[in-house]
Amino acid sequence: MKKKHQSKSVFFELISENNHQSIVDIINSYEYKDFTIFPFYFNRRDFYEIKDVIETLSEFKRGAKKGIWGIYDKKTQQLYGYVDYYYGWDAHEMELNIVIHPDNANKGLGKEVLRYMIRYLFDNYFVNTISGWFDEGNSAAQKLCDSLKFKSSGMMRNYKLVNGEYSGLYCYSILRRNWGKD
Amino acid sequence: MPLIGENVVLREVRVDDNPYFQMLRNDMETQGFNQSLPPDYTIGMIASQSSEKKFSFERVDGNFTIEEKNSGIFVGRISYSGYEKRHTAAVGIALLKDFWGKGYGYEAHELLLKFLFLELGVRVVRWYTTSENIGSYKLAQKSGYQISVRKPEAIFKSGKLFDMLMLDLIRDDYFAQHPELTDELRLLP
Repeated sequence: MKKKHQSKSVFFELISENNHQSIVDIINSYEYKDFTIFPFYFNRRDFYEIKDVIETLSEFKRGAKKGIWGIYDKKTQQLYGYVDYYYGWDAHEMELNIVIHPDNANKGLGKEVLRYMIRYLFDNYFVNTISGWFDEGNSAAQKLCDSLKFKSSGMMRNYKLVNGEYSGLYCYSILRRNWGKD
Repeated sequence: MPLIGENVVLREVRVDDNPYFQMLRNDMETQGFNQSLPPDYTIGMIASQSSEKKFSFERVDGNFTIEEKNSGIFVGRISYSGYEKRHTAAVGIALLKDFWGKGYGYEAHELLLKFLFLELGVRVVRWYTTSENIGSYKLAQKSGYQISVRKPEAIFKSGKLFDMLMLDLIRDDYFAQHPELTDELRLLP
């Protein structure tokens, strides 16, 4: 059966109960901050549990016009990570998070997923701006954003304290009229 | 004891304030910085918002009524939210239009900043507004905030798209603005 949402190598579906532990493994991993693109949730503590994942998933279930999907490998059905989206401060802006397991990082999945999601959001929601956030020093996320015509909107200063130093949180945005434009 | 300044007092919210909160909420210019709401809020709706608050020592927000010190007249409201212990909070303020441009907002905001930095010990305070709201931006700038994030065309109000501005005031900058105050937490990061 053809999947409703799919790109070249992955498809997107709801996160099933037997994948909750995989999500916990991802967000508790040492590399989390380095490979995560737009880590909005699960960004404040060292360790999370399955109940935190369930709580976050249920928040998405309660709200309208927002979603959280698992990213699955087309061939093996393995969970690579997740993507979520929701309206930001105003109903003409959406925020997007993409999280991919470290074992599957650096394979071009981030770009494939981000490209698919931008197209999906612009084609299905009344949004003018799509934004995402990532930690200062996350050069992979920055490169990815640059490659898909996102522009820096600035950086929240002193967002969190990590190993004795403050780290900022970058915001990158893309406008509808700039998507797909050379 | 409320927070007392030269011309304004920040005190707890009272039931008698509800008609004023209703006025703020039903005025398209004061109802909310980032979205347009139907100007149909009733006193009952406003009252239910504040009556839902329960006692707690674990507060993540604080809400104050601003009143004129000498007359006790209602000026507006000011609040902080998203408080993370000893780290951060975001501030919001709304004044009745009669009190715009007279220094009440600045003084009320400075009183709240003093509470946040000296009593709660936060490291950074955030302020959200839009590129349309020049008064809000100027007030924040006067208190030492800097724009940290500018999301393009993210806010739609009055038929136009505006940028959303996120500003922050770092603890060191606050104390640099206030040489009369000493930061006893200066050895912390």
